[in-house]
Amino acid sequence: MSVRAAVVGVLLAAQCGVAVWQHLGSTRYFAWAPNDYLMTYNLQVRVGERQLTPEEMSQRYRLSLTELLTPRMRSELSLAADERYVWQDPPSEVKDRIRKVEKRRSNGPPADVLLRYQLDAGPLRTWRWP
Amino acid sequence: MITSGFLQARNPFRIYGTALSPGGLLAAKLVALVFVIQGLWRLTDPFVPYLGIFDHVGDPKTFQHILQAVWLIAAVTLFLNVFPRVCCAVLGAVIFVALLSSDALRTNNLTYTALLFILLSLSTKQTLTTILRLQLIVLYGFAALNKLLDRGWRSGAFFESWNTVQGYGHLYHNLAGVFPGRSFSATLSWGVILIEFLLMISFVIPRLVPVGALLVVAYHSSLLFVTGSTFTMFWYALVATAIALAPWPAAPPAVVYPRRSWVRALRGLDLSRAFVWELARDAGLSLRVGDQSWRGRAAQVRIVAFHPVLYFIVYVLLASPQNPDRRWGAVLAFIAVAVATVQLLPAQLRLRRVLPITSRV
Repeated sequence: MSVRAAVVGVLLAAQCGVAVWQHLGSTRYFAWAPNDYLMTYNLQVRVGERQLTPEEMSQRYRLSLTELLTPRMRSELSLAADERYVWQDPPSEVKDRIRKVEKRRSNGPPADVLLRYQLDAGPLRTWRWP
Repeated sequence: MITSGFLQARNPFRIYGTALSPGGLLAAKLVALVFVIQGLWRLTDPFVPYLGIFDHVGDPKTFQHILQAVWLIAAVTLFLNVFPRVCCAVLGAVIFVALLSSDALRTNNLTYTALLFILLSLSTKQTLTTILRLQLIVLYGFAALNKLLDRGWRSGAFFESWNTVQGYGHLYHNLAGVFPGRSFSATLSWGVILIEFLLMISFVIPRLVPVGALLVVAYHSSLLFVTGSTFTMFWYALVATAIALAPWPAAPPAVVYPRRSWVRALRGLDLSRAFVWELARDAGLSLRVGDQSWRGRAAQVRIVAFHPVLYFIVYVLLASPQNPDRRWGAVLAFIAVAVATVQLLPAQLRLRRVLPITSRV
């Protein structure tokens, strides 16, 4: 077997291994699940005494906080009135992102994060950090 | 001294006569071109990386600039046909490093783009089809499995909510409301799962690869047509994969064409020197590949199908930032799939006892 064929084999096997491993948990990193989820959510972050603006939250977590949900969509899907944003991966990945960003920030006051979301327009859930 | 041979060797549209297969090199150039046009070459600085090593790369902006410079140099070198295999490896590896260094950059479509470059770099003219087949089996197999295992996909809840938040959401919601409960969304949802499993199966069976390649184009073009989105690189990279899977001739085919014919325009566009053109003495058009030849419409279809510059034109126009509605690309792809299904597929499947246009070398 040539070296090239071996490398191809390793790449394919690694993809299979990672995908199976990811299915054991709630995230789908590198697991071929493109746009397979619809999480509608609202995010509120308070640092010290100040509430962050959407632009500040977007920069802090590198989330695309473009408001895509219209009142009509919220009504047709029975979404919570304050849900504004859309995420197309599992909710655990947003939580992971926020948790890791906050753990890495060594300076400044700690952040209080409130995430309210629905997956596939299902039950409303709340997640807080810390 | 710059000779015509040197210029032809460095011709950015060239696809024949390198270490890579013609279809593989064309696919790599098309994807690299879109990556540049859409500004994705800017990549990223480290942000919540997947590997701890990226926490120790020094100045984040310097890291990003190095990735950008290496990627751009490899892209330019690829278009100059200098060490195209190495260039593909570098293009894919740099994107992969960027993906591993930033949770915010990682997406399935960029992961596929990186893998496509790397797999093309590892392929030979003999192994290209097998390698791409295996990759597509993994991709569609896990994509279908993930949907099958997800309660929201099985019940139609995902499909209903996802479509309702699209631009056409109101229309979709009203249409779904005609049917009881979530039956409309659940049916479509299961249809998508079935199609992705069928795609996987078509690449498991070597004889069905041409069918699978056309299905890939049709499936992703239908997503483009409905949503208006190429899902960043997904449409471009997967259609380029299907292009690479086409049975490209091993060397430029010979075309004998009549003086008064629209084929003359194709000759003018053949900047890649992908054909050997010869004026006909009579009125007939013919195409010859090795010991195979076609005349009339069969020749026309194959000249269009194996004309690299036409793919470059479509990809550039479609990827252009000045082109907000890209649905025309889907319509063009549907036409191409329909023509290929009628004119090329039977020969590929040997249904008419006609040999394939050429054997792979």
